[in-house]
Amino acid sequence: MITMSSVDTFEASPPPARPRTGFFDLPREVQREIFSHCCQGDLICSSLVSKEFRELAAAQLYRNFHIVFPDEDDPSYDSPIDGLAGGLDTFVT
Amino acid sequence: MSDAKLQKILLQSNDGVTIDVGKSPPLDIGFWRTPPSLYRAVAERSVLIRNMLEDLGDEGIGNQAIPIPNVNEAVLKKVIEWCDHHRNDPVQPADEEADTRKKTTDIEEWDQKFMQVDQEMLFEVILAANYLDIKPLLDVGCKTVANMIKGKSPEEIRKTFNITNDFTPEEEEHIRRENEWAEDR
Repeated sequence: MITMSSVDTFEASPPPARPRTGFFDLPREVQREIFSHCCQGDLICSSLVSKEFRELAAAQLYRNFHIVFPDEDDPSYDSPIDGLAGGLDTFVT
Repeated sequence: MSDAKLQKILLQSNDGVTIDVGKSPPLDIGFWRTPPSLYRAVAERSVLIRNMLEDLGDEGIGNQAIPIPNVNEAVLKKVIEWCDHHRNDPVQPADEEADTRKKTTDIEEWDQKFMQVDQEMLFEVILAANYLDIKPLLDVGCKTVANMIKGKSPEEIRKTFNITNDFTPEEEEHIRRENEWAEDR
């Protein structure tokens, strides 16, 4: 049961602490600027962190986009067309 | 030298505190005290404040404080500390700056120490540098964060920035495959 005093206590309690400023409070262009300083390996790791990080990392990774055709002797080799499509798919998403 | 150079510059933080650019600790320690003629040089590291001072003119400034509505006292003092240390830095032309600063995470020693603060303060300083238009400070902040990513695994990056993994295992696998494109380049 809610008594008058408990309501008072509730109202008198301090407001919840302001959420701490974090990475995602930065404007998008600043986030992009941060990723522009990251090397290839760090971008690859970042792209596995979360969806937002992936978007930021991918924008840097595929800025200078190259399509690499796998070696024909490679067992995982399918066809150059799949490879090209995969590359373009990565590029547009 | 005109009188304007000797004028005090007062900034008011968003929590209502008036800060004298020349008197903000830790600038106020003994011989290190900033001479009044340099107040302006310190404040003008910020393009926003420089433009405001120009717009107001020497008479317009008077003794009134310039409101900085997006920055609190602690952060504003920290930013002024940086501006004071770097008050004599040459202004780099924009295009030259773009060439040299990319892809490097080198930070000079003083700036590294300056940025040894908790993460909240670090991000607040970056936000303030962005708002006040202090490009070199923004740059140091961005490099500091880039260095916090450097060499870490995805899980370590999540821990560092308190990020939740919102990928499904399938999505994760898809990205791993995608990333093969980017490797060995």
